[in-house]
Amino acid sequence: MTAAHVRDTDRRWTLPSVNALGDVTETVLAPLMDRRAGKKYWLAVAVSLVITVIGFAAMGFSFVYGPGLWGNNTAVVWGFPIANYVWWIGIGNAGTLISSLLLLTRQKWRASINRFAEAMTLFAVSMAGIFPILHLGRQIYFYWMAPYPNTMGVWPQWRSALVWDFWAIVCYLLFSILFFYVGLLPDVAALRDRPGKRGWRLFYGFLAMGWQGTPRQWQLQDRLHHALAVLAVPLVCSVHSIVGFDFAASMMPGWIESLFPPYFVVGALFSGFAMVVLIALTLRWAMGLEGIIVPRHFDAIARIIVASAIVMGASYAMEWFSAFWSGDPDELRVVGFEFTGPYWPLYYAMLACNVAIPQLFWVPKLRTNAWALTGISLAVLVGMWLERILIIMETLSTGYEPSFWRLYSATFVDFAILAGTLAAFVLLFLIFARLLPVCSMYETRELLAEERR
Amino acid sequence: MSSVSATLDRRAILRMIAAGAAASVAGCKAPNAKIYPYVNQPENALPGSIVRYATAVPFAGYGRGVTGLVTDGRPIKLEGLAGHPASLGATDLFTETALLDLYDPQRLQTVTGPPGVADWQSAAGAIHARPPQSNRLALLTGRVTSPTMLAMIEALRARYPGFRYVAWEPINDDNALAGAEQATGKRMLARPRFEAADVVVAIGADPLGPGPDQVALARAWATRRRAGPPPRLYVAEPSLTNTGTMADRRTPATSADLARLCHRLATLLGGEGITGRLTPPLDDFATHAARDLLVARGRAMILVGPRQPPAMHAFAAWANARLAAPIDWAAPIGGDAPMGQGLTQLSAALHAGEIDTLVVLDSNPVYAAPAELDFAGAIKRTPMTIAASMLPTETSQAADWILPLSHPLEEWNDWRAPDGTATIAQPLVDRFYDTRAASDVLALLADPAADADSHRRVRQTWATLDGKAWSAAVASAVVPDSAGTPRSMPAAGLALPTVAPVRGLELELRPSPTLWDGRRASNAWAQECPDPITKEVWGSSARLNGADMAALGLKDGDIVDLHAGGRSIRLPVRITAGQAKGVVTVLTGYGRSRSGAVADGVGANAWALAKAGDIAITATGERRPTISTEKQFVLDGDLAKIFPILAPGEAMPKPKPEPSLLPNPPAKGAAAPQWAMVIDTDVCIGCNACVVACQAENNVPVIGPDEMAMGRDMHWLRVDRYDVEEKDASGFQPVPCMQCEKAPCEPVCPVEASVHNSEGLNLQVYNRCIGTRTCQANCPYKVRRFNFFDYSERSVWGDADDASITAQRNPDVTVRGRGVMEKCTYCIQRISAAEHDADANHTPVGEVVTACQAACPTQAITFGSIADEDSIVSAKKADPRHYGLLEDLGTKPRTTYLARTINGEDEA
Repeated sequence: MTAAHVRDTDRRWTLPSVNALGDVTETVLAPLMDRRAGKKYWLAVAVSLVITVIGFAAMGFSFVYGPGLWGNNTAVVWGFPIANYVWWIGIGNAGTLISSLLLLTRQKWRASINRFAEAMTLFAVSMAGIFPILHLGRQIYFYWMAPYPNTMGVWPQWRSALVWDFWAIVCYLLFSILFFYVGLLPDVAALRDRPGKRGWRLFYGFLAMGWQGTPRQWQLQDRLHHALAVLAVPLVCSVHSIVGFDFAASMMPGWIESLFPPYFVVGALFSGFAMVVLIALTLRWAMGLEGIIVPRHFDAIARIIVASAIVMGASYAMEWFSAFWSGDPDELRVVGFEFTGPYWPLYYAMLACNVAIPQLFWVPKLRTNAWALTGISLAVLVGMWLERILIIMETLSTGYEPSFWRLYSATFVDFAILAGTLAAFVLLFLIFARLLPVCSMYETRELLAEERR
Repeated sequence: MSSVSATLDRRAILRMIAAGAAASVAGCKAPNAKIYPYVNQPENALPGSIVRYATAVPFAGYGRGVTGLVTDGRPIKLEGLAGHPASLGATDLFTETALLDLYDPQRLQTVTGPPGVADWQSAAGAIHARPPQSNRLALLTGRVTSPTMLAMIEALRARYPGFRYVAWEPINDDNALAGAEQATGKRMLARPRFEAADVVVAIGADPLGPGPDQVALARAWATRRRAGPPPRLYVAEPSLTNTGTMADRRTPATSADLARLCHRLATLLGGEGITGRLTPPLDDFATHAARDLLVARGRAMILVGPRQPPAMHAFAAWANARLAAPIDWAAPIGGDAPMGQGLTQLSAALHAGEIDTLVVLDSNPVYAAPAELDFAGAIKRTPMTIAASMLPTETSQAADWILPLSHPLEEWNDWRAPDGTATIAQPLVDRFYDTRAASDVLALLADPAADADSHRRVRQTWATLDGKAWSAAVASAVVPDSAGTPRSMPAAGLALPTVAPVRGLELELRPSPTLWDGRRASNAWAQECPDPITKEVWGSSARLNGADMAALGLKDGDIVDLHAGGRSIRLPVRITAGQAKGVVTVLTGYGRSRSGAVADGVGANAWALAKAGDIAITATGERRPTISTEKQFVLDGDLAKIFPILAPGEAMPKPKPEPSLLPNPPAKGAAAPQWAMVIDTDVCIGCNACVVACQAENNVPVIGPDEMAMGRDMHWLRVDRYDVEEKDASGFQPVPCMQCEKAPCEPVCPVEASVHNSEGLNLQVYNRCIGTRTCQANCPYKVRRFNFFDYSERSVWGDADDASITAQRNPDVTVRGRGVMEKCTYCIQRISAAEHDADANHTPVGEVVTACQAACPTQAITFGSIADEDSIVSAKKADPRHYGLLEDLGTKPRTTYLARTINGEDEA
């Protein structure tokens, strides 16, 4: 049921404008090596830098003065930092899945989008990694969560989901760097080999680590890349399951649900793909990649998004159902609070963004319309962030003790920190786009070769 | 030390040495007096150990025995004094908060006169520069019960014939005395004997609420409640009070309703009241109350609150005589002159220019006097005003001379308790600043060369006690057999209150349960202590019934102007449970000005509307929700697992044992003691003494209104209030840490800062905590508290150097820094001290009393080891009313409860 205008050529994943294999390299590298960055680029850098500085200043103040600068209170002890953490780590999910799951299932079309998706993962996980440390009361002792020999003879509490979480983030970040780098090797070698300034060639040469493109190297690289991809799939599931355990491995109504781990994995996939759409649209427009990132790519991603939205809807329904089915008054109270409590506008907004709005992708035209894609992806990202904060607010505002029901409202510092990480993410992407090939050239060449056959 | 006279024996000298040493340790100043250093350290005097001294602190003029816990010369905690009739070993909120005043950085530290900072000599010189003319000198004090001060005032009268003396309390017994006089011709006060009362009908009375005799009344009530057969408490009142919360049957009532109720009760008890129509609920209430009163004749009483009109007191006197009620009568201590009238006359004299020198001793008329007296204007009119107080007040700021008074713990004092028992209070610490005792100020009025020797003056008063008796009286803080003898009441004639026609809204002014008439407004512990009913902190509100709010188109938190008698105050409104329709309730004690950073601008001064009666409300269009630690929620789920209500004799259903794969050895017979607590919600009156006792004992910081508004309260112990509508019952539930055997906080802490010990304590290791707050997120009881900022270093005392506050801190309890989770420890420092003693003496661990337990006036809190099957706490755990909070979660809490009972109407 592919949209009609997508089908007007034999080539499914590249456009005729990209014809020779060399065109791929030219298309990807041209903005990198030959053109000067435009005013818009520097404007984008300036704006994101300013917001980043504000956000990181807010973090600095939080380090110095304490979590009291946030909206958290004695009942709702968690707030924006944890929501931001879960949201960012969820965004990272899509990059890994695109790279590994699609690689393993031999979905060659991933070739032109996997590089920046992996970069997205890397940057998103970096942003996510800030929060578990930032949110602590005494940040300087964050390393106490790691088992290391110490004079106190104390080890971490292995029963705590936060310790699992610590390992999940560390593994995920290390893995993402490794996976990204292994995929990058042939391309940085190509950059090294092009004429250019000596300093840049030395830089790329260093990164290329002596890649010569010998058959032996290609074979090893391919094997390693696949091996890592095999590791990635369980890892990406475990990371998001463990994030789900942060809540599910508790005894609070609204959290203690066996549904949480898979539901968090799907939610992560969902927001991750939404972010991929936004980044792909931006890069395609800004870097002239229309020839290799084609409407069909967006069509495919939109289908994944609509599928995820249905699973999300089912998950919410399952939450309500299990509350009614168990008849547990505390669970029922949380469900009632979701719909009728003071946070109800947020809850309805979340349902709209995560379940209703993505259904627009049933319309084939909207799956390739840039504005629809942008709007719906933004809605999904907002909806998923709302879901993260609501999971925290709904349960902590209404625990078991009615005398301690308290509402949560965020402060300026909370918003500044969130904005700061968003801006830092954009800034990292802007730097990445000027530094490294945003598409995997060698894999896209492979795809093009196959398509032309 | 010139004051050490022959009457001072060796032990007293040693005590004074300790007090002197204390001052030097506290680092305030070198004592002026000669000091006797230890040549041989007294036996058992260990630096750092806590030593207990008996002394007393005053409240509303009455003395209340306390045990001062002193470590290295610093009093760090006040506990009850078992031998004192107004303490009985327990405290109330006012006693607990009194300690903070000692260390309050806002205290007046020097004499200030018209030229600025001065000293006592120049103040004395100024007073006597023009020898005070006898009839142009006036003295205004609060209630004086001190035999020493009363004698000195008599001496002043002799020295200055015609000198005007007025004792005035904003919250006084004028109406009760007038009522008694109306009924019997004698100005006397009723002292109910709750321990002998089967049926109590309280009409606008709050005997279990705040007041000078709260502890004794509450103890007697609890004692009676624990004994069989179940007593019954009827309460009719305009707004919900502690007593109303504890009632078996309660009805909200306007003042007209209360008057009609008196008429109906009079008729039903065999008198003649107006047979007006009563609302059906009130009618039913009256019928049942009268039936019970008559059945329990001899063991039944009617109580009328001090704010009710004299005629209602007269009715009560008649009714109680008819019922042969267990009530003692006593003349008020320190004179029975009407206080309000005295102040009015004084004010008139001041305005008329009849007074040259006005001395205000520890009283604050500029703030609390009825607004129509214009006391501030009266002071302006007076050539010289001298105000002596411990903390800056509106009155001291208006006076020409400000004399700083010492804290009671810095001086020798004597007072009488409400029952007349005299108490001799020794100082626990030397004066921090250049201050003097109230008696020294009186001495200064008579003689410019008077010294500041409160000891000599008190000793003189009690010269009849020989050395040994004096020592015994000081050591126990109680003069034996000094209580007044209760008098019997002559037959009373029936008098009845007039039923005022119902107009618009009427105003009820009630003393603040935390600030009283305003005298504790500078006290940060008091300001941060939640109101028992509304849980408001750092501010006041106008309390209204929901129907009235709807009729006025107001929502919770709307700011309104309350107009009455040409004056108005601005306050937020709030719907309050149990509020009578047509009544607006405002607490006194707020709205202080020029009185320091803590008190200023918090709430509005309700005294401005005193005696107003009817009021009008206009909305201002502004909103500012009140700061409250507890929001009102309507719970549709069942409250039964949180706050079950039983009928007398009914037992809690036995909880099903939760199946578990994990081993759970029984606590009984364990090698180590197994600490546990049982709280009896049936006698918890919600007085908050435990909340502040815990704060004082455990170095719990004061965080101020902004942080409280953020919902970050730090009290380790909170008192929840529940209304169970289907059972027509309400009650209080203090919630400290449950010390769960299967604590949900422990497995979720990533760094093992939350751990269990062999004695069943759920420990929080502060220096291991990194502040993930996961423990609190997973705590079903939400009893953990987080230091969002470095609260222990933050000051709510404005610009004042708050270093003195740190001297109050308990050295046995860690002061927590920023980013650390904390919670109730069962006072582990006290457990450790007991265990160290046991180790040193090779004895079993003795009794451990937690701070909250020690404070509790009704002894609702029991603490001990459940490994010992004979312990009181084990017995309580076997009580049929025993239950655990949210027991079905499987947390196995060590803190458990005894259910509230309601002695409702018999079905038959």
